[in-house]
Parts: sequence; structure tokens; C-alpha cells
Amino acid sequence: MASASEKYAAFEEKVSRTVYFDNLSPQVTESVLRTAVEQFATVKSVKFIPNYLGPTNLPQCALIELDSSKKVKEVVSMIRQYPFMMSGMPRPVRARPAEAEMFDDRPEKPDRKIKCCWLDPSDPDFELAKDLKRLTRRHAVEAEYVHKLQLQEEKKLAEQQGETLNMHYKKFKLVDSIMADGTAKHLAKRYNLGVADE
Amino acid sequence: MAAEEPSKLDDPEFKWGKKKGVGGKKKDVQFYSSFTYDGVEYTLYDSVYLYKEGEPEPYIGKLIKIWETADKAKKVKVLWYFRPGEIRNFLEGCEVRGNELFLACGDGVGLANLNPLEAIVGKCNVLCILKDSRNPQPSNEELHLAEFVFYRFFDVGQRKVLDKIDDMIAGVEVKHIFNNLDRQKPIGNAKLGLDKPGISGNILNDKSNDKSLNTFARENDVPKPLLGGKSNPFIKEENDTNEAFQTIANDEIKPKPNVQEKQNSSLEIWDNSTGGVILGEEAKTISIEKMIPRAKVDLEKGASKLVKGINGQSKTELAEDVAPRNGKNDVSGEVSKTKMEDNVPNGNDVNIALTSSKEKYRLQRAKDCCDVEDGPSKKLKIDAKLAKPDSDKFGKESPGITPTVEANLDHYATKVIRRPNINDEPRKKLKINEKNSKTSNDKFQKESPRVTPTVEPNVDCHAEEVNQRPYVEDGPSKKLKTTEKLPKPPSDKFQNESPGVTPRPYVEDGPSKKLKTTEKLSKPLGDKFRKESPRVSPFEEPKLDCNVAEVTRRPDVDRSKWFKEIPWEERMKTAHERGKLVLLENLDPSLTSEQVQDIIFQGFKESCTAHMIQKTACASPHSGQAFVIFKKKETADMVVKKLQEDSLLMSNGCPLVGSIGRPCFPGKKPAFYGHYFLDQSRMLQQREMKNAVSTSHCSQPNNIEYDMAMDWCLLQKRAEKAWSRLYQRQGDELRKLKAKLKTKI
Repeated sequence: MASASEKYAAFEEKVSRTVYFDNLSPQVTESVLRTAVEQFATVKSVKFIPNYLGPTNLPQCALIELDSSKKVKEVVSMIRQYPFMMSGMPRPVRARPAEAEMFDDRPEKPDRKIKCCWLDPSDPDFELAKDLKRLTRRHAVEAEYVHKLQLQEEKKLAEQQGETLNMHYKKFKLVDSIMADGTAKHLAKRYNLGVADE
Repeated sequence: MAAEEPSKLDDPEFKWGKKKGVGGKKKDVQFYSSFTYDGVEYTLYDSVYLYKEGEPEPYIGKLIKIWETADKAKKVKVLWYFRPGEIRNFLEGCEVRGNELFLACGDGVGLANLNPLEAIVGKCNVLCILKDSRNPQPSNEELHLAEFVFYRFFDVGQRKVLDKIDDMIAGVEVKHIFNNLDRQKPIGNAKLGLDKPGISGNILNDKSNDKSLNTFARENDVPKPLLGGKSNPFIKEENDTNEAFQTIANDEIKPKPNVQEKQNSSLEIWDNSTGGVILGEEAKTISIEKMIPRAKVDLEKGASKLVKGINGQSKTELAEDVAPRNGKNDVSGEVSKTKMEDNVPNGNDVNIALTSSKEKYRLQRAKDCCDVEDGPSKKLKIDAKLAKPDSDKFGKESPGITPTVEANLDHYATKVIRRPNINDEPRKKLKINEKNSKTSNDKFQKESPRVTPTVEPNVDCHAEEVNQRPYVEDGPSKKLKTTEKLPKPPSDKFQNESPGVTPRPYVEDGPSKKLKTTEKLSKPLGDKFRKESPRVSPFEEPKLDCNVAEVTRRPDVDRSKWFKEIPWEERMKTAHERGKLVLLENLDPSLTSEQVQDIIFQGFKESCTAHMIQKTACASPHSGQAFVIFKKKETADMVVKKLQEDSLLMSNGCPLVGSIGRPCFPGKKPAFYGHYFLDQSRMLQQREMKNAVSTSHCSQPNNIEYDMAMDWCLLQKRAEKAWSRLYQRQGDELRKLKAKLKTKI
């Protein structure tokens, strides 16, 4: 049995070897992630972070353990530089180095003392603590609101892009169809233009 | 799980018993129905302890097959019993007796195993108390002899606790599972027998306790009530302990009857808790602990009394007084310095070796037994049991007492080398007890909040009792000094305090006040006790303990290793449906789930299962969140309410915030913006599209995808900025408020 500090050191080392991915589509599975990242480095393990709190339609996040911390830097900078598509386009995934708090199986920090105490209602801090609690609640609500805003913006962008895409698509389809049914050829002949077919 | 021990061939201490038949492919496997190992005869369907290296407690199992293979390896097939701690995760809501086991049934891992025969370390007395026509009901006497009982089964396949059982378990007919027929005696079912001498229930019982309390009180005035031979419900503890105490007493000075009685009564408490279903194991440990100072004081008292001549009785008189009862005696104590080791209990007598600094004399324990017969205490059983000459058993039956005895021995440096009945067994068991008590903590609390205060005042009483005696100060004991520090209560309290020994309702009124004494008392007793002492149930405890407490390890650790834990998500779902889920906020994000459990235990004395919410990129760096599952909805509500009304300040300077948890579970198809699928084209170019979608790639700046991706990147960056600004502002706000806090942890 390794001592607590050794264990924690091992864990920290693992954290340094791990990349955190988010903005993942719900269709991304472990195998998709694994194949995607294996283009750059050896993947040791893949773990999704469950979302128990936030809005249900937040994108997925995952932790991917690689074989070395150097690879983590490479992968992160690569994905920052070039938008990286996973299970769909054009929304790229985002990568950043993992943090210890993202792991659920982390060991305790060695020699850490946790203390707690009940505040006496007569204590002047009691009211302060109440304020702090209220503040916490407000912060939670604020965060929730930012989540909502973010989702709204994403939706807006998606709609906008979707529309553009559809327009493009219609255009291409039109071009495609006149090429396919011979209208283009016909017109080319008529106007005496050369059509580069094939 | 398989027990390990090198298989020794031709072990001189081993003998095969009855052959049963042969089997195997080449008929080279010899089955047996009994064998003798280490001087103990084992037969098929006996329950045994199995030793496993590295395990704090031996496993308990039932032998369902015994054989020797062609290469002379001795094997046994063992059907397992589970300790409640091993299947705690599956016990939801079940109340568990302190000494209850669960027999494995069904199909799956953990039902039965092959083990080398040498792994057996001893017999274990397990009784089946299932009310079933197929099961011969054990007598009360047997019930008290039993180290463990079981009446429920654990299906290892379904992982459920069952109340009923089919005709076969692991290919064994159920009649073998139930109690042995030849052990059956014509005594009725186990019930709370107050009316019947020697019958006692497993449940603490007001009436008997009343009596014992009275007697207890009386004992303090009258030096030798025992000899009076009136109904004395106490005297039924293990000889073991008494011997030990006496030994010490003698060593110190001369034994007084009341010395013995006190010990008896303290043991009585212990006994009650041992047998008491409600109190369970935990109480055991507590009482053990508290016995230490008390016994000491008793000894001192006895000593000083003698010196003062309060009690003019000489030791020889004592012996004589007692002697007439000898006819009935089960046990007789003999004092000798050297006989210790030689003394083998014989017949109905147990020789108790007492080392006396001055002389030797004989103490009759018989009176105990007679007295007991009048009294309704359940512990009478043990006496009856003690009557049996099996010294081994004694050891087993008095596991919890060992520490007291040993502590005493240390202090008084007796010449006792080894008590005949202390063998390794009880020591082992003692550890088990402690462990058990830890594991059963939460169950204990959850299931019988009423009991909690009961235990508490017990401890207090001892403290008070200790203080009452002025002559305590004469004592040379080291530990005694620590007890002297306790505040002195008025001496007339003595009568009053005795109710504290029992779980009578009015005791529950004032557990909080007494808590302090307990805490002080706990200090000299060291760590173990402290862990057990903060027993005050929050339901009864109106006051907040505003001291900064360091969060220590929660004493119970789930020891289940055989089964995979139910996935957290599932547990959370069921807990949510039953209202047992609480969301905690404002935790230091770097805490682990275990530490959250510890904090909850420290703050509420409630056990729970916690799960830190994993941080994501857009989670607050200031407030960690955790979901906590409590055992009951009421507990969850209580915790939330208390967190709302009061403030539990943690080391990060934030008060804990709690609310009823409402987790969200991802739906089947959560919406995800930003990936587009062109339905028609998919129809046309299915293959190409498929490839395009499933291939992860870096976008190159030569197509429309790249432009769109850039839009997304922009959005992501903006969101990132928004989050960091939000959290920065929140952090500032928090810091400002926290700076005003005067309490620093």
C-alpha cells in the first residue's frame, strides 16, 4: 500500500496526463473519442463526466488519459489551433488540460485537515454566514442563467448557420440538378459555351 | 475471499472422522462427514470461522462438504454467512441485530467456496431463529450461547435480503441449514421472558432494568447485597471478567463483595447491550470503554472501605457466606498465585485464580447464579453457559471484556500470567466487535434513534459515579486521575443516576447536558472512545456544539467487497424518488466524496453516501457541490432544515448550503446545437455522409465548414470569457463577505 502522499502524487501525475474535452455532441461515445484522439497520442482511458446538475442539454464532457503530459500539451494546442470535429460539423470540440477536481475517484490530499463548526446564533458571524449562504444561492442562480444564455446563443448561431447552410445546399442542389438532367449541357450548347464535364 | 493457509500434510492435530463416500472421476476423492482439527471436532454443517490473511475479521461459513483429494489435500466447501457490514449496501431500511448474520443463498459469486480445510480457525455458534416450521427453534439458553443468529438470507444473485428460503441452498437441503435437531430442547421460542427465571429476551427491557437499577443503587449503600441473596439480576456476566476484576482487586488489596457487585453491574450493562438487539454492537464497545474507569474506581472503593473498616467482614467470612450455596454453584473461584495457568475449569466449577497480595481465599460465584435465578435478567443465560466446562467458550463469550481486563492488568502489574479462559479467540473477537460496532454505526443510529440517548447517559452515569467517591483519590491508578477531573455531582444523585443505566424514557430528556461529561471522560480513554462518544442524536440535541471540530474519519467503513456497488446514478435516482437526496453547495471543490461524508458525520452524526459533483470547465471554482444520500427521508429533511436555520462553517470559510437534491438525468436525445445534417443529401450520399460524420478531423481553412467552425470558436471564447468574468465577480463578492467573518477555522 502506498502512503497517502504517494497515492496523491500518482494521482497528480495522472491529472497531468489527462485532457479535458467538452462541447461534445451527445452522439460521441467512448470509442469515437478514443479513435479521434488516438490520431495524436495513445489513449489510456476515457471517462465521461456525468452532468447531474446543469441543464440537460449541455454538451458532454470527458476526461481522456494519455500516456504522457507532453502529449496533453500537443493535443490541446492542436485542437486550439485547428477546429476539431467530432461526430458532426461544424461545431468544434474544445480541449484543455484536466484539473484534479474533475476526477471523481481522486484520493484525498495528504495531511489535509478539514474542520467545521456550527455557528452560534448569537455569534455576529451568524448573520454573515446567512448572507454568505444567500450569496451562494444567488451565484448558483447566476451560473444557471449564464448556462441558459449560452445555450440560447448557441441555438441562435446554430439556427443562423443552419439557414446559411440550407441556402448553400439549395444552390448546390440546383446546380447539381441542372447538371444531372442535362439542362446545363443543353444551355451550353444553346449559348455555345463549353461545359467542363467530369 | 478464499482463505489461505499452507496445507500441512499429516498434521498431527488432524484426524479424519466418519467417511461418507467417494467421488470424483477416478473415485479418488474421499468425502467425510466429520474431522478433528486442533482438538476440535467438526462435523458437516457446522458453522466455522475461516481465517483470511489481511482480513480484520474471520469469515463465517457453514461446512457443506468435506473431502480429501487424491493428492491428500483437505478441502471444505463453505456456504458463506454475511456480516451485515459486508452487504450494507443492500440492506436498505432493514434493521439488523447486533449479532445477526445473513446466510448466502441463490446463485452467484459469494454463495459458497472451496477452501483448504486448514483455513478453519474455530467453530462458530450460529443459530437460526427463522420462524419456520422446518426450523427447530432454539431455546433461550441456546440463544444466549449463540455468537451469531440469522433468520434472513442474502440472495447473491439478486442481491436482496430474503425472509424466506426454499428447500435447497447451494445444493444443501434446508434441514441442514436450520438448527441441528439434536441440539433442540423443549424450550419455547425466544421471547422476552421476564417471568421465567433464566429466560431473557434480546431486547432491553424496562422491568428487568428497573430491578437491576434498584439493586445497583442499593449496592452502593449496603456492602454486600449479593450475599443477601435477594433477587439480584445482575450477577450474570462472564466469569472471565469477574475473575479478572477479582484478580486485580486481590492484587491491590482485598476483595469486597461490593467490588464484585459493581463489576457485575457494570458488566450487566455491557451484557445487556451485547444481547440487546437494539443496542447492537456499538453499545458494546461503549460499555467496554466505560467499564474501565469504573471498574478501577470500584476497586479503589473496595480497598478503602476495607481499610476503614466500614465493612467489617473478613475475607474468610465472605468465603463462608458464600459457601453454603455451593451446592448450586456453577462456578467457584479459587485464589492462587500460581495456579492460574493450571486451572482448568472442571465440572460445574470454574476455578478462578486470584492473585492476592496477602492471602488466598476462595470466592464463591455460586451466589451469583442463585441470585440470578430469581432475577429476570436475560444474562442469566451466560451463567448457565458458564457452567459448562468449556473454557474455550468462555473466551468466546466474553470477547468485549478483554480490553478492560487487559488494561487493568497493565496497571496493576498483577502476577496473573494467563487466565485460563483467555485464549486467542476472544482477542480476535474483540477486534471484530470493535469493527462491527463501527460498521454498524449508521444502522444503529438510523434504526433506533431512541437508543442513542440510552447509550449516552450510561456513560455519564459512570462518570458521575466515579466522582462520587471521595476515597477514589486513594487509588494508585493512573487512569483514575483522569477520571477525577470530572466535575463532582452531588452525591444524592447516585440514586438518580442509576436510571441512566437503562433505556428508560425519561433518560432521553437530558442527554445533551450530560454530554460534556462524556467528552471529558472520553479523553483518557483515547481515540476509540471518542469516536463512539459523539452519539448524541440530533433529534434530541437542541444545542449546537459551537466548537471547531476537526473532521475525523467517519467510524463506519463499508466493507463490502464482494459485490460491485450499485452505480451511483441508479442509487441517486432511487434516493431522489424517496426524498433522501440532498444537494450540498459551498463545499471546497477539492474535497473528496469521503471527506464530505466525514463532514456530514461530524456535523450531524449521520451517515450518508456522498458524491462530489465533478467539476467541468464552466463550473464554479468557489462552490463545490455534492449529492448526498441519507438513510431516511426524515434525516435528509432534518439536515436541510438545520443547514437553513443554522450555519455549519467549514474550513474554506463558507457555510454549508443544503437543499433537497433534484438531479437531472439526461434524456434520451438531448438537444445539441451546431451539428447539421442534411436529410436529403443523406439519402443520396449515404455512404459518404456516414464517413464524414464519424471521422474526427481537424478542419482545414479551405471550406465552408471551417468558416462555420470559426463562428463557433468565437462563441466558445465569448462564453469562456463570460464564465471567467462571472466567477471572478462572484469570487470578489465572496471574499468581501468572508473577510468580515470573525470566526476563523
